[in-house]
Amino acid sequence: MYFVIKHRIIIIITGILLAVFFGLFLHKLKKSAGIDSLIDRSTEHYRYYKETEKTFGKMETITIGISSEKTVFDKEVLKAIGELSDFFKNREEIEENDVLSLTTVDNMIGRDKELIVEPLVENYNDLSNEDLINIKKQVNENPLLNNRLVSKDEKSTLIIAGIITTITVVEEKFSKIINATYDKVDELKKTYQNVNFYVSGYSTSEGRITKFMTKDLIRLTPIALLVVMLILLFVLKELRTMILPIIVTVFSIIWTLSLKALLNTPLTISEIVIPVMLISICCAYGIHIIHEFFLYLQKNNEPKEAILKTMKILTIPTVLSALTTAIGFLSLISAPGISIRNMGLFLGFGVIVAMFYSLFFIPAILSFYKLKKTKKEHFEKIKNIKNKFKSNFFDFLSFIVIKYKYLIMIITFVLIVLVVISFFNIKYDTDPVSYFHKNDDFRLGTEHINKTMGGISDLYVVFDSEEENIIKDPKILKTMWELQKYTEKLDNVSFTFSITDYVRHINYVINDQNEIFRKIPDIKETIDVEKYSYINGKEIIKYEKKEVSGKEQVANLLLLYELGGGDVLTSIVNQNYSKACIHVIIRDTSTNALRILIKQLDQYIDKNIKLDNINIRYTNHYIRMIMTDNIVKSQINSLLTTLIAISILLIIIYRSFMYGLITLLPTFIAIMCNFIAMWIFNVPLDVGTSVIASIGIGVGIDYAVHLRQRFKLNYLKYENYKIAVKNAINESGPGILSNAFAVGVGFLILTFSSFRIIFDIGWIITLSMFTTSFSALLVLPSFILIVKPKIKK
Amino acid sequence: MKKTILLLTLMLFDVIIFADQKGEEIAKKCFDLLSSKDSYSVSTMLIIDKNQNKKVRKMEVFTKDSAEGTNSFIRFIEPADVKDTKFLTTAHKKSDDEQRLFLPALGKVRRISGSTKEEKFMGSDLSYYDMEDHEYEDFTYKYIKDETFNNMDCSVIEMYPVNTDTPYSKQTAWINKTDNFMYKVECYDKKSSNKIKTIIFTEIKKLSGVLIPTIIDVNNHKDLSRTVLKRDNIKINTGIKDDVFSLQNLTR
Repeated sequence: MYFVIKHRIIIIITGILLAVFFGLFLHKLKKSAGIDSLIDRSTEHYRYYKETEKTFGKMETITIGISSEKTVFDKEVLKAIGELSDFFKNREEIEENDVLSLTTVDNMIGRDKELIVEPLVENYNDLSNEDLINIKKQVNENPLLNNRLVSKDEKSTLIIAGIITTITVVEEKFSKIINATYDKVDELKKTYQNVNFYVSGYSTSEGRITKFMTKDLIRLTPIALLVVMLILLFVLKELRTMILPIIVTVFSIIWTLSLKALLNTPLTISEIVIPVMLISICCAYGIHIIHEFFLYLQKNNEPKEAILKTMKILTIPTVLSALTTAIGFLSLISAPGISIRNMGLFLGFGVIVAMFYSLFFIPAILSFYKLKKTKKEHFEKIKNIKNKFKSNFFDFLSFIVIKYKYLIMIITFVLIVLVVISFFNIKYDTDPVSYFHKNDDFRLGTEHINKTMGGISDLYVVFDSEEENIIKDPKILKTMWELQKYTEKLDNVSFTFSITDYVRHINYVINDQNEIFRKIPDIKETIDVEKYSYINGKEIIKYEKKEVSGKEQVANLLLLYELGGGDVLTSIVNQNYSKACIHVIIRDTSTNALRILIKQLDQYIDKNIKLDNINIRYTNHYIRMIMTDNIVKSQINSLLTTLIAISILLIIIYRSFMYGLITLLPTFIAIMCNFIAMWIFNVPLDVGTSVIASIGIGVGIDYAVHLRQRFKLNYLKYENYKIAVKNAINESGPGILSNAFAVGVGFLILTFSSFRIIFDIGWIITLSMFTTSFSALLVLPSFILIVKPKIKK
Repeated sequence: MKKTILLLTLMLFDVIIFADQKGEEIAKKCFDLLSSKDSYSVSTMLIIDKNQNKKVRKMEVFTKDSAEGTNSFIRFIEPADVKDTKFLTTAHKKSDDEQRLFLPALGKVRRISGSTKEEKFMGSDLSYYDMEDHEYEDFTYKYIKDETFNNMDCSVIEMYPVNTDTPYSKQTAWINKTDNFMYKVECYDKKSSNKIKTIIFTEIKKLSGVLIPTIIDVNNHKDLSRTVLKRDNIKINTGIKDDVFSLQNLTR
């Protein structure tokens, strides 16, 4: 510490300059809300997900639900659809051919030996009543449109627009198109007052998350700073020094976010908590140092002397406290998705930065401090009042511990049982729609589309082979068709579509719209071949019977479709017909609904489908379910990592296995009580809430460490467990509770977030601060009194 | 001062006019090149998608000029499952060309209508528009620069379509100064003005004084796909009979 005092000016200047230097990179920080950041990229599921994305195109879209009180086959509604579709088609961020709506879709009809592929709506600006009747008739006759693009009651329809694959969610263009879509829809709402618009789709959700992330960062960080400032003012009673922990925290935030920018890792949804968390946690280091420093100043020490004495006592606890917190965070690097992994890594980094600033920068500045006489008396007065209240309250706590230690143990045991029960009853879900609050426009829009239009979740069931043209085999197509029919009967499935729907429809159209031909050709088909000839200039057609293979017939139908101008098969079959995809549209965005569906599909496939050379695999929406499963695994992993790492740290420091364990256990149990709260309030374990336990332990263990330290000192002095416990509660209690209060209130700021998941992190960690601090003051002393572990000098 | 500006403007204007005239001259020579009255070839179309999946289409192609335009008759040889599928295009000056398809496994002739100029020709990276015969009058021209392309001394001109129903906002062409043949064309999207396609005539053969491209390489920058069209066994001006382009031949 002499070093710090000797080079204090250099330390202060270097500290500031480094923060300013890092600050220069802050503007480069990107934000991302893509699902990629939440998934374990090393798995086979992810590899396959990316491969299928390449084969069948981009899976995420902007989806607009359009509805009207009467019918969508209405001049005004179609005009609104046309205008919005044209808006998408003219945007450079949108794939022009990837805009699907009533005004962009082509309809295929067969008439007088002619195959006509023409727009369903020729000119939406100039539609007669006759046109409307005709459009309605064509939609009703086309199963590729009816009940899919238009709802059964004809009151709702969709516009689906795909963003160009090369535009990723971190790019400005991505946010630009999402914002422009909202602006356009707002404009159309004014013009077409009888038409309802609902903006949804996974791309929209990603764009909206990115937008809200910025909003949250801008809004929550200052609130957290303000609240912590008020708490500091209350604790330190002085403006001059109050600013120090704030500066340290702000510097650590700058370092952390700039490091992210420098490493070019975009900020993801779970990481928006970084600033608020650092503010809440890191201020504590400064508070302790300044508080202790004042105590020495009051004892008539010179500032330099006071800070030397302060740091002699507080260096080890500060390091220990920062390390345990950092371990809690760093344990998240075992999480599957990069989002949570980075969150842990960068929070850990931020805590270490704050620790270094607290150990060097704060003492360097405090060494210049001079205490005014009047202030000194003021401090004394407050201290006396506070002490009186504190000793009464903490006397009461120690009385409870000594008298009811067994009852506390029983209650703890009951809580453990409840934790186990709740852990098995908790909902595991990754539903991006539930990231948003219940009254959010996007959430309402998606819920409407789920209800009226089939939904935005698309499960891919891929028939995957290496054999070219295998998909054209009628046997495969019939199997796919049977699977589709079965799937459509299941709960939450709105509809399915695949190459089979096209083959059936083209077959129907080419056979003069005869319903008998709305089928997949058989393995062998007997046909009448048209033979043209001219007699006296007159066209004569004769017919010859011929047996052909069904596979060739399918190939012919598809060639006809392709040459006839159809061009949308890329999303359902690959170029060489070795892979085909059944799209299963689900009206529930939760992964729980999907889990049930997958189970039913697995059973059906196991029982009914036996195909050589073809694997049936799931992907797209399925990846969200895998992600959720991984979250549960990662929750257990990161908890174990935290527990092991902190145990080792404590055992090394205490040189006692028993003490390490006894100190850790109460905090662990207290943290586990989160699950009871989540169970009661129906909060699912998701990307947000899965990090709470690790973070809670890292932060909450400090309280147990403090109590245990005071207990040891007192035990060595009095060699009596009861006296040592009573004094330990009295001496460490105020610090523990005020720290828990400050951190808890800091985390409570997260409840102001635009996201439901961040809101949940906020209140649950606040609750954890309450449970961990009380467990340190009640459960840990009771443990000590019952176990009576040996104390080493 | 005003005079100076006027003079500068005039000079600039003059340069533009000159450039346009030069562009027109270069284009005129190119469009005036001798063409065949009829042709036969076995064409192989290799279509490579963005995932490097390959698809091969092999076909016999007959073409013949008529008063209405160029008629064509295509018989598929590969892939095997569409072998003997036949595709007849009858040209009309005043209306859309007529397209008929005979599908052997369905035994039916069907007229297809509705395919627009932007649409892919047989699933390749060439559009129906690319396959059409174009006239000198279909464009306005602007000379850009001279440039060496594939060791050929070329003039680079920009071609702006006169009609609005074309898929491109402009095309940039590399025309060889020696033989006046167009060896490379870059096509720009009407909507975004981005370059969406590059067509390179990789191999040219001279038959009876007519320059015939035998390998055409098309890179689609938008879909990230590629098509290579190779023409073998080319015969021109052999007097192909009119009844090749008939319904009777389609179902024969």
